Amino acid sequence: MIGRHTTLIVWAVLGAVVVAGQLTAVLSKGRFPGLGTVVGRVTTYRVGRYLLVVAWMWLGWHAFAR
Amino acid sequence: MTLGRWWMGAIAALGFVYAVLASFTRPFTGGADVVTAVPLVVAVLVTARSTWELRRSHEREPAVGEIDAAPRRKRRGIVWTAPILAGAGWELYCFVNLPRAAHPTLSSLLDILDATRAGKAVAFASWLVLGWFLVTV
Repeated sequence: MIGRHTTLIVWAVLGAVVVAGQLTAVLSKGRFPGLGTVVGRVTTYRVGRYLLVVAWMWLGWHAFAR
Repeated sequence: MTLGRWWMGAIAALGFVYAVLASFTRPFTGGADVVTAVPLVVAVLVTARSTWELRRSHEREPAVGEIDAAPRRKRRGIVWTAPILAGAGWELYCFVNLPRAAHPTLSSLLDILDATRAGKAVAFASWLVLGWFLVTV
């Protein structure tokens, strides 16, 4: 049975991986794409753009309104 | 979409003030509904406008460098699939397991941040920045 402590550690590790990936992207000066580049690539497709915007809208409504 | 430095500064200041204003609302109230709905409406309008601009810009021929550089960067971007899938999987695991206190989802973690006025202002401002990035990139 996984407890709260372990769950939070996994979230922290996942967050650290994302931060490390972003740092790598910045330090590689464009050779390694950051999360922003990947998201930007998805938004070049109209469907990807709409899906991400709808996901953002849901996130805001879920977090701040309901 | 390209905006001048003055306009960007003005929009950033407006977003900051709006986020502070939003931090005074509480979920499940009319005020929270309105303050959250306004950016959603703006996002729909800006997305429609930027999609229209994107469609117009695609009518021109791409430069040679734009064609050559894209596939190489695309392959390297695949490494992000692993942490994104891991995060989605962990969120799903936490979501289906109870009690929530033992298995906090991202929403639960956000609730902890939202518990204070400053935390909510930061969370709301971050959400606005993310939205601005998505609709203008």
